[in-house]
Amino acid sequence: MKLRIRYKSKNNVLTIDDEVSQHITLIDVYTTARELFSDSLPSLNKKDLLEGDNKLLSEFGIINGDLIHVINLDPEPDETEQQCQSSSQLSSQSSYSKSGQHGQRSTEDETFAESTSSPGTSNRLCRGEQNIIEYTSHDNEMSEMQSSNNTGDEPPIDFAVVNKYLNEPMLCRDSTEMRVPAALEQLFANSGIRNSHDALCVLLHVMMLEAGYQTVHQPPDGVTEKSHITMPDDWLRRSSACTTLKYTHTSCGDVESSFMLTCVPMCSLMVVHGTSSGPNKGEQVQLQLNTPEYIGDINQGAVKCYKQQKKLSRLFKDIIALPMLQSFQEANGMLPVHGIMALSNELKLKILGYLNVESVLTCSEVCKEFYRISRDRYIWRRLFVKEFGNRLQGEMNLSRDWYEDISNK
Amino acid sequence: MPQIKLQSSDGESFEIDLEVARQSVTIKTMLEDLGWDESDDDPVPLPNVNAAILKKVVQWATFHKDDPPPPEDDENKEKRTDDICTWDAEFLKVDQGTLFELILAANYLDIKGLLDVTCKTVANMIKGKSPEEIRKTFNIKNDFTPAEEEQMMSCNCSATME
Repeated sequence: MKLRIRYKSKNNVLTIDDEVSQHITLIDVYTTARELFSDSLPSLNKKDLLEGDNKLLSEFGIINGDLIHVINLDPEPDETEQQCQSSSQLSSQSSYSKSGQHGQRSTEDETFAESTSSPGTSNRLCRGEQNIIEYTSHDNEMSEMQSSNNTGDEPPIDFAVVNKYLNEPMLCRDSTEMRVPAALEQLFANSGIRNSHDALCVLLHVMMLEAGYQTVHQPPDGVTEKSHITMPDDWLRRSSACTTLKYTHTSCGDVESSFMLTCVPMCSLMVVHGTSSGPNKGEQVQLQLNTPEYIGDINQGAVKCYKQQKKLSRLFKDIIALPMLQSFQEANGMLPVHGIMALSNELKLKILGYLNVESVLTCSEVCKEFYRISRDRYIWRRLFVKEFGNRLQGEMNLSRDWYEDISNK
Repeated sequence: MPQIKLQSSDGESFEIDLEVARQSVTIKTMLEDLGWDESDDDPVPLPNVNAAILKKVVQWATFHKDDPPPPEDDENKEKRTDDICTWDAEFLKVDQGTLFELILAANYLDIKGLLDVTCKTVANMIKGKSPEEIRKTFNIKNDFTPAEEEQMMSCNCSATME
């Protein structure tokens, strides 16, 4: 059983022998990792403290892979913490080794621990002759954590990389000053953005995808292919006077639907029209945006370029993306849905984002809509990184089918 | 403590503490845009939330008014669903209709804490269930053809063999 302990924005991993894990109490954890708990107490949700030193970990509902937050009882403004967070990397890592049984195995484990943690300190909890939990910690920035099941022929986990992906926002509205969703970052880099209006169009496109719209590609061989993370075909043919983006929407099922965004720049403004066509047309929607409000310097990368994403996401989805779909569905007599199916695409994504591999797979078997959402690459990359770290050759970006990769593992 | 009036879509007015109302980013922004001050007596219209749901939302926001703001960096890192506090768990023991309306209201009013906890609750309703049980729970129609279903089953089986 592996637990992660988060203290002052540093993550530490605690490995407990599986055979004894059900007998481990909170006090055992304190004694082993005592440097973390001198003036602090653990919590699972960062609000309620875990109380009862002699309670078993299982009584708290602590399971393999859990993150335990250490709450400092004597809070003081901590500037270094801010810095740690802003770089969002680990400035310190710790390594632990699995506890040994008697004899040969114990010796081996000790050697392993020595070799990986020589620069730091090492604590060990012993009961009789058994090492139950082992905790070693060192402040060497370059050090890498070796997990207990590391067989030695796999590259070590680089926690800086893993944290980068686990920290990533899923939706534009969750963007921070430090991170934007991977899809936006990727499209921003690869779409040949020439000016701030282009940059705004790319952002609107990502928001359309979040709202469940899909671009339709028609490759030369005539087979229609629906793809995730590219700009629509017409993007390359855009003119400076007008950009047109075309979509279908998954929830329209068998009804032939076509949605079009027309973005017309006028000085610093951009006027966005949304129209739909199919058996019956939906109502036209329109929104006027002040480009400089949302777009900064386009030469500084996506994170610096985009501003006020939360506000824009709300505005755009409330005025364009959702009403356009709704009015099309009404015009074509599609029955209104209720319950979970009535939630917008991004809310369904948010819910699936809370699930583990098994549950996401189960969801994909429920219905077509769930199947589509559960193949989301952001979700699978997260699951992959959580499970296997960055132990994978090649690019970490979203052009990879992470679902395929996890199936092959 | 300054008070503010909120008006639901069906015309009912709620008078609540300004601090409670400001947990909704939507209301907070609206007040800033309107230049609202304490002498204003006009109710803030919320056309997307009905009285029954607004009442629940106000109840939740009142209980959580002293919560510290969530730290930003942990936002996406840990997607736990078993950290719902007892009060919230009790509060969310409602029928599905209400639960999903609460999600929509939290989304519209932009109350992050309420949106997170309601979505987690739905995720917990999914966890550990079979596809058929999920369909039953949420009243979802199976729209796969038998062939599609078979193909997918074999796909997912190989993925879970690990």
